[in-house]
Parts: sequence; C-alpha cells; structure tokens
Amino acid sequence: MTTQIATGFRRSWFTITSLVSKDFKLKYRRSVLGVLWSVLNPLLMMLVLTAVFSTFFRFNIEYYPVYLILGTTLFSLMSDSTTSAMNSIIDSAPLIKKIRINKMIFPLERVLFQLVNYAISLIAVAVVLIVFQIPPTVNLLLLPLLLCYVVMFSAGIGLLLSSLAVFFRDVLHLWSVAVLAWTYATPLFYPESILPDWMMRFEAFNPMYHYVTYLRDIVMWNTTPGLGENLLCLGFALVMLVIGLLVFKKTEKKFILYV
Amino acid sequence: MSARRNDRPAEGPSLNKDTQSSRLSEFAQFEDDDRETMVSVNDVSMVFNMASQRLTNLKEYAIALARRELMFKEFRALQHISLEVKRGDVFGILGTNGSGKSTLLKIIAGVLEPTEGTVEIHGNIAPLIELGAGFDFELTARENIYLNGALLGYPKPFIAEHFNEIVEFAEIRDFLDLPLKNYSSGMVARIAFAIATVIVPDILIVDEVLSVGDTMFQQKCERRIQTLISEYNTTVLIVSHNTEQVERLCNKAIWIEKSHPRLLGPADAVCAAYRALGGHRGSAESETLIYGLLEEPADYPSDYFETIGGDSVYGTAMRLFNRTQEEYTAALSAGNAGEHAGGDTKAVPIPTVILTASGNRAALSLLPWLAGALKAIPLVTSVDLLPDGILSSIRSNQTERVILLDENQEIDPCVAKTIREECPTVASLVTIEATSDDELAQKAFDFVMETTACDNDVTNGALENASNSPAKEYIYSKTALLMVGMIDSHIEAFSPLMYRYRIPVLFCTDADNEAASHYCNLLKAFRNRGITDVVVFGKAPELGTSSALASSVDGQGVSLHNIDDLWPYQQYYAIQELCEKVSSASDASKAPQNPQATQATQKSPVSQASQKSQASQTSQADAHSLIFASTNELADAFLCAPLAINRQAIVVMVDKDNLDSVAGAIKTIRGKGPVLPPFDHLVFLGGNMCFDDPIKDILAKVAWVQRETLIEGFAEEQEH
Repeated sequence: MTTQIATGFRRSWFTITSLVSKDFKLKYRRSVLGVLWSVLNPLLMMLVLTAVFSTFFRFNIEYYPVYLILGTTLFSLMSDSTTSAMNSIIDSAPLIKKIRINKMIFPLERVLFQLVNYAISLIAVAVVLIVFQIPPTVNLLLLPLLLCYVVMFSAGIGLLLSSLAVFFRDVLHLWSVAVLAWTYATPLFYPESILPDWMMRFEAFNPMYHYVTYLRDIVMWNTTPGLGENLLCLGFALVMLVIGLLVFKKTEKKFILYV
Repeated sequence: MSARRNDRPAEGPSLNKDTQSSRLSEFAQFEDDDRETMVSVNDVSMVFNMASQRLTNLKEYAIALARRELMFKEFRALQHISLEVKRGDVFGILGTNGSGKSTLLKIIAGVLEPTEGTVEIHGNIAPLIELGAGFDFELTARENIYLNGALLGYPKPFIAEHFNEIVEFAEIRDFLDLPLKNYSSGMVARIAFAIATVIVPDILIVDEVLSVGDTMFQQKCERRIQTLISEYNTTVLIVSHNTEQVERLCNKAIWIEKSHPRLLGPADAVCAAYRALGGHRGSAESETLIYGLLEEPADYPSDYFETIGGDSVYGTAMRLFNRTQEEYTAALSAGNAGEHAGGDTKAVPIPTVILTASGNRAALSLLPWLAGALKAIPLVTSVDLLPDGILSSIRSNQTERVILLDENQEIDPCVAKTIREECPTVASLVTIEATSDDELAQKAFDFVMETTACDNDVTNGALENASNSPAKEYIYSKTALLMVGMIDSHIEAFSPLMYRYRIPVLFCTDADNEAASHYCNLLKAFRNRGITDVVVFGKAPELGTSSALASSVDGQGVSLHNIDDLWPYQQYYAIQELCEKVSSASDASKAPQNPQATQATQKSPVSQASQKSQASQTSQADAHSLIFASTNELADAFLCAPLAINRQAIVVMVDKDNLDSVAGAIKTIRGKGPVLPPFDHLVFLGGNMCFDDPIKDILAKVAWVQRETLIEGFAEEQEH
C-alpha cells in the first residue's frame, strides 16, 4: 500500500505544487505588503499576547516572547492545516465531480501550503531570536525532522477530518471548538509548571505538547531531544497518518455522492 | 465523416444508404465487428441512495439509524446499460435531461463507480466532462493553463512543450497575462478545450462542451475532434442534446431514457428516433410497443406513404386543395373519357369555396357536411388576414362563390375585402355570421336549405365522381350529429363520413337551465327537417343520462344514439351504418337515380376488402388509403374530407407527442375493433409539427405488415 501511495504521490506532486502555488498567489493578491504578512502576522500576534499575558498573568518565563511565538506558530501550523484540509474535499467538489483525480491531493495540498506559510513565519521567529540574542545552535538541524513529524501528524488528522466532513458537516463546527480547547490544553502561553499533576499526566498523551516542547528544546534551551522523545513524536505522527489514510481510502469512493 | 466511414469496410456499407429497407441490415451489421474494443460497459446500474444523501448531520443520521430508515429510497440513475465502443468509433449518447447520460459518462470516465456491473477501459481517457474544471478566475491565463494541465494530470514538461500550441488554438496570445475573470466566457471555453485536447488520448469523452462558444469556435472544436479521429484514430464518446451534431459526428449512438437504454444503433437512425420520440411519455405498454417497432425492419416500398403538408395549416390546406382538385380533374376526365378524348389536363374549377377560421373547431366541424351539401371545397383562413396561399388557391380555382363562416366576428373584415378585390371571378361572397356555435350551425343549416331549394345549378357534379343532380333529400342525411357541451372525442376522424353522407352537425353548448328546452326545440327542428336519427356526442349532466333523454324525447319522432363508449372506429362504422340504413330506406321508396352512387354509398370499406380478393389489384378505384391527421392541427382532418372520399380513405387522428395516442393508432391499423381493409397508400397531413419521420416510419411499417397479412388471408380464402 505504501508503494502505491508513493507512486501516486510522485505522479501527483506536480498537481500539488501547482495548487500550492495557486493558493499562495491568491492569498497575497491585492495586499500591499503581500507575503510580508506571513512574517508580520505572527510578530504582531506575539506582541499582543505578550502584552496581555505579561501584564495580567506575569508568568515567570525567561524570553517569554520567544517562548510564545515558538508555541503559537507551531500550533497554528497544525490547527490551520487540519482546518483547511478538513474543508478541502468539500471545496473541491466541482473538480471531484468532473475529473478523475486522486482525491488525496486536496487535503495534502492544504497541509503543504500551511507548511510553506510556516516556513515564512519562521522569519518572524528569527527576528525575535535576534532581538533576544539567542544564538542558533547545532540542535536547529533537528527542526526539519520535527516539521516532518508535525506535517505527518497534521496530514493524518486532515485526511481523517476531510473525509468525515463530507459525510457529516457537523465536524466542521465541532473541530473549531476542539482546536480552541486544544490550544488552551497545550502550554503555549503559560509555563507547564502551573499545570496541576493530573493535567501533566494528560500532557504526556498530547502530541502537540511534545512537538512544542521539542521545538523549544532545540531553539531556546539548546537541548538535544533523546531518541525516546523522537520515537514518541514519530509514533504519534505515524499512528495519526495511518488512521487518516485508512479512513480516507475507505471512504473516498463515496465522496462524489455526498459533496 | 462519410469518407472516414467508407475507408472502414468492417462498418458495413449500409450506413450511408438512406433507403428505408436498409435499416434492418444496419442494426444487424452493427454487432459484428472485429476492431479492438476500447470501452466495454457491461450491465451497469447506478443507484443513488436518496435517504442517506440528505442526512448530512449526526443527529439526523442517529435518528435514521435508530428507525432503521437508512438505505431506503433508492434512486436508480442507470439500469442495465451495456454497450461496446470499438477503436475509431464516435459514439453518441442521447437522452433528455435527467435520463442518466451524464452519469453514464462519469462512470466511463472513472469519476463515479457503478453500483452494479463493470466498465472496462483500454487506453487513456481525456474527459471533457466539463471544460475548465479547476480554472481560477483570479489567475492569469498562463497560470491557469499550467494549473488546469496539472489537474488533468499532465506532466510539467509536457505543458511547457505544448504551451504555444494551446495558446495558438485558443487564440489568446495577446491576453496571456490577464486574469481569467476579464476573459469572455467564449475565450475561457477555448482555453479549456485547447488544454483538454492537446494530448492525444485513446478515448475522448465530450459532454455538452461543444454547446459553448460561438459557431466559429464550435466548428474549430469539431475540426480538432475530427483530426483526433482521422489522424490518431481516437475513440470518442459524445453526450449532446443536439441531435444534428451527433448525427454529423457519430457513427453509433445510444439513446437513454428514464435510466433505461432505449435504442442502440447507427447514429442517424437513433437520432431520427430520438428527435421524434425523445422525452415523450406514455404507458409502459405503449412505450414497449413503439420502441420495439423502431428496430423492426421496414419492408414497405418507398412510395407507400406521402406527406401532404406545408409550413403552416394554410400551406397544408393549399396543398390539400390542389391535390383534391387534381384528383377530381383526373377522375372526371377518366369518367367522361368520351367527351374529353384529348385528355384535357386543365384543372376543373370547383365553383364554391367554404372558408372559416383555422382555429374555430365548431366552424371547422361544419365544413365537411357543408362542402358535401353545397358541392364546395373547404378552406381555412387566418383571422387577421387572408394567407397568400389560400388567396392563390381561390384565384386559381376561378371560384365563383365564397361562403365565409364567421363566429363572433372573429375574422377581420380585411379577409372579405381581399377576396372581393383580388378575386375577380368571385361573384358572390356570403358571410354566415353568428354569435355562438349553436347559432352558427343552425344558420348554416338554414343557408343550405335556402340555397339548394332555389338554386339547383349548384349540382354540376364536379365534386363527387359518382353522383349527379341529387334530389333535395341528399342535401343532408337523415342522420345528424349533435354536440352537447364540451366535446372531447375526436369527431375529426368522421369528416369523410360527414362529407359523403352530408351529415349535419348541430351544437347544444348552453349549459344553463334552459338547455333542456333548447334541446327539445333542436330535436323538433330535426324532426321537422326529416331527420330521423341523431348521434349525440358529449355529456350534458343537467340533461340526465342519454337513455333517460331518449325516453323523454321519444315523442319527438327522432331516435337518439349515444356511441361515446365505443372504440373510435366502431363509432365510425356505427355512424356509417346509421347513414346507410336511413339512406337505403329512402332510396327504396323511389327509383335510384344513380345506381353508381348508391353502390358507392353502400360499399363499406370492409365489404370492399373482401371483394378485393376477387378484384384485380391494379384497379385504382378499389385501393384504400389511410389518412393520418394530427391532433395538433385539427383543421387538417376536416379539410381532407373530399380527398379522403376520393381515395376511399379513413382518417386516423394521432398526437405524435403522446405515445399512447400513437399506440392507439397502431392498434387501430392492426384491427382492434372493426377489421379494417388493407391500406394501399398512406397519407400524412401536416408538416413536421404534425408528424416526423420515425412516427411515419413506424406507422407505415405497421400498416404494411397488416396489409401483407390481410392480402395473404384473402388469397388463402380464395383457394378454399
């Protein structure tokens, strides 16, 4: 099955990249600052959140803005790509109804597009790092690996949600609530030290907690995640991806009847 | 296209022949073919689940699951479709909206999976199911060409290589970097078509795409498809509403109706059938009968039927007029061969013309008997002006008298004026005016009484080949038709009888309380005029049932007949029988003035049919015709009465859009009800609005087969 997917993927790669470039062109059409927004957006978000949280909550975190921007950008890579992948099949209904095309292209393309966005927002992260004079370390080389995990994980959820959303549109509404809850359940704005014990035990099962921690480790704390941590992160990603693929493959033939 | 067909002998030579008799071989040869099969659809059915499609939220789903209502309400979009497309075929799929043809195409294209059955595809497919799928109107044409190419699965180098070709075909060189939203829809269609056909597919699927864009572009697309077909031997499947296009491009076609395959065969035959019957509905029985007949062989000779029809009802009227005149001239010169030894071919004028509005059914229904009684020929006019064709008929005929039936002054005075000014031969123009059907009929009756009483010259024998100077009794028969209330039966079919026996028609359309007394007065008037039998059509509830009526008017000295329950041609013969009975009774009282006439009157088609076995077949006088008139143009049926009598024809009313009506006509020919004689000739009245070729073909097939059977039967009878 994996070889099948691989060949299909190779053949579809040009289609995916074409769609990504289309999305990219369309996203910044007619805006004066254009692609700069992908940098500005996370920066401004960071400023607002820093202002809010350092005024009201006064978390005692070193380099709080860095802590914040790392967490929020990575989390929004996951949340944006899953949300947009979820809508992908419904949005491309006209295409699915008209041409014979590998339907998996649509959710995967959305995830990939968000990855491109994330890559651009990394400039914002770099700016913050420079401001706070955090030097890059050799650990940064692990970043692509982490992004692989996150993208696989997001693609898995995206595939699952996109096929579910075709049959039950409720998923669209439920997911936004779920993402909100997940945002607060993951230590993005607050230090994990404020979490109660039972919540910490729960975090062990929160893939996003692991991914965000992984990122902070390699960027802020110059810590190399151990093999166990890497395997755990990969495990989450693989499990999610396999579930997503199975559900998608099983249901994709019926999409055309429901979209 | 024909050249292409010719260089492929396997397809059979019959495709280009348009003779009727080759149809069978076309259908037979259609199957055997040793070219490579490109698409093979085997017994494919597609079921959509209506109930579960609507359940798009969890709550509904749970409720439905609990109630075990899931998987109900199936909708079968396709049922048991099988077809085979060979290499190089251009295959058309015809059908009305919602018949399932697009579903079939999507299944072949691989977009949909069939619920049952299998589809085998050999080769790569280029589906043009909807052009420009995935175009983004914010992007430029250049970007869209790449995007659309990518979505269609073309590799990037391929698009780059053929980019110029696409741009050239679409003629968009100057606008390449303009967003697509600024393009006209025709330009967008051009780009889409160019991208879709830039590859050379084994199988090209075209769904209605040729209906976009201007004519130039459509032709260009067709040329491109032709190139693919002729140079690359591409197999093409086309879905279209445009039967002409399918006929032009395709060599084979399938017609799908209501998700069932209806007809599969050579494109021209299927298109012709579809044009005539596409979308027409009827009972399942009628549909089976008619669609079955479509595929049957046509053995009848090519001159078995003729069509007398013009562009409009007036054109038809004019042609009928000319034809009637010709035939009377011929009959007269044959009858008076001694006097006209030179074979004078000059048309014999028929001095009187009866004219009425083509849309007034009551006035029209008076035409046959007035024409019979007054030795006149019926014609129709438009209410606004006198159509040119009608005017020229009146003029060429050297008409001496025109009688205009005008109800409620619906006919514009300019009609009468035109006749007076343009027709110098018309000595008298009589207008019979009335404000209701009832009044019109009575006035017409009175008019006939008056004119024939004082003017015996009218009877110069021009109109009926076998009559001369009829006595006053012959001006109207002793049987009359009475129309009560609204009439829904097809009395048009009786027009030959009404003309031959001069059956007066009267109306009783008043539905108020005085109707009963009005009715009694009518009956008294009938009796006073010597009418003994009245056939009542229609029902007037306030008058009670016809039997009750009959008893209440027994004293009036007129017997009533109600034949509403009979099959139409039983009605026909019932009326004929009544007329025969009454006229032979009166004939017996005095010496027959014209034995020939009496004989002709007494000969029913049925008795003639049995005589036929003895009579020589070549005798033109004994040949029977069947005239088909359309319910779409009632005037035709009334106007054909003189022709029908001359040809010993009966008239059958057919609504070509109603399969039940067509099936009824078929049953009539086949002799359900009275046994009809074999018909040697068929006439269809009216233009394409009234009958189209496949309907004519079906009816001719049925009549011919029936004729052969009957003649065989006579021959056997004769042997014993």
